[in-house]
Amino acid sequence: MLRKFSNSRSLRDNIQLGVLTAISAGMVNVASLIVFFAFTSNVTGHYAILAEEIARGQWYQVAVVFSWILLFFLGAFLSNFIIINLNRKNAYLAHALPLVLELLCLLTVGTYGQYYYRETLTETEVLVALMLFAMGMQNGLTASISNFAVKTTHLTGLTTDLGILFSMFTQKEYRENAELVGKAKLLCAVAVSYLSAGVLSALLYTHLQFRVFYVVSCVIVVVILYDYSKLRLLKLMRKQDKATESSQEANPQKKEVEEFA
Amino acid sequence: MKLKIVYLAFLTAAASLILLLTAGTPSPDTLLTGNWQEESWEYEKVDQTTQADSLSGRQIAESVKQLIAQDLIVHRAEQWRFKPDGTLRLITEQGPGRQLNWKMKGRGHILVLHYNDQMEESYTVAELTENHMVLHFYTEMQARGIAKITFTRTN
Repeated sequence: MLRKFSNSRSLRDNIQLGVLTAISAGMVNVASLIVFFAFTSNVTGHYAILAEEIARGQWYQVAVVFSWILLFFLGAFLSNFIIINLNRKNAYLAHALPLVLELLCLLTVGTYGQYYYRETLTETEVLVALMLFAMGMQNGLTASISNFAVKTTHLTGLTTDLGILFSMFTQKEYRENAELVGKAKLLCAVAVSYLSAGVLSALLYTHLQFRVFYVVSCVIVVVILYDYSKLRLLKLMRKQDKATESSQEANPQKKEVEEFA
Repeated sequence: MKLKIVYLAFLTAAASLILLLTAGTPSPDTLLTGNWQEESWEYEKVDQTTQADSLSGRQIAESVKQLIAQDLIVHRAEQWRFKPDGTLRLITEQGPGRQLNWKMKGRGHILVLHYNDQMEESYTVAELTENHMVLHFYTEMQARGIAKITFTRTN
């Protein structure tokens, strides 16, 4: 899910990554809307609000909304910066590090919210900024490693693409195009995951309050550990193969007997 | 090297702009603290079919206001005294009334009021300047949707 890069990724890799990160984005967005009255996984609305606040001359709000957009941008920047600089040395680390940073941001929001949040406006603005930074990082990562095929924090482009695809599917030649069908599957999976996670987040929030961010963190941990466990398994298997080969080289008669058997 | 300078300059300019704007203008929660006098209760929109150009079509009658406000925490207050410690004292004709807790959310565009840790209401801060404040809230009354309360500062 995280190891492969760009065109070497399969549809399955993209669906796995898309579904899990869409769950995280959907949960974060709905939780922040309930707690802070602000969206944190998409910035389209913030651009509209920024324009409105500039027109009204509300300069404090202009600064706040501009800083939120800037932090989303910086999150995506940092994510891709890490990937392009570390990818050749260690692809897994390059792809996992942005998620580790996102995890730290979400844990900070959850812990601060649960133990220290006094609901002041400054705290609200900072926590929203931190979540936008985290979501920028997540979106930067998924878009970057999937060659822009997976974007999970906002659904404007996704809904447009789905509209185009389903319009194409009215003709047989496109319905039989495996690539287009695969893309539609991916987009549908992302949309359904985002929506379901949003509903789950709203339901969980009434019981868990800020601890809902720990649940989101668990999803991110699954993404990070999924490939790590696979890597460990592969290493273990290679080690075993090598051990078998060396024991066979040391005892060729045994090898012949095994082959004969 | 040149690219690094361009990137750093962009970041520094953006950060400076944010600092300049936040330092130079009061935040909404600072603006909100103080005494506010209720001026009017109005519908945000009027019906096209009846008295569309008339102010009386927009103005909420006292009887309707009582009906709308009967389930609100801010029921029949005339003065709202927002204190910096997060408490709000509602003052009526009869004297000091309920004490609530207030919080601002979002970018300072939502005012959340709590009463006794049980009741919670949220209002959209449509306008907030030194001397003028407009709060919007949703009401089902006569299916007109949004009602607005206008205030002027008294201190």
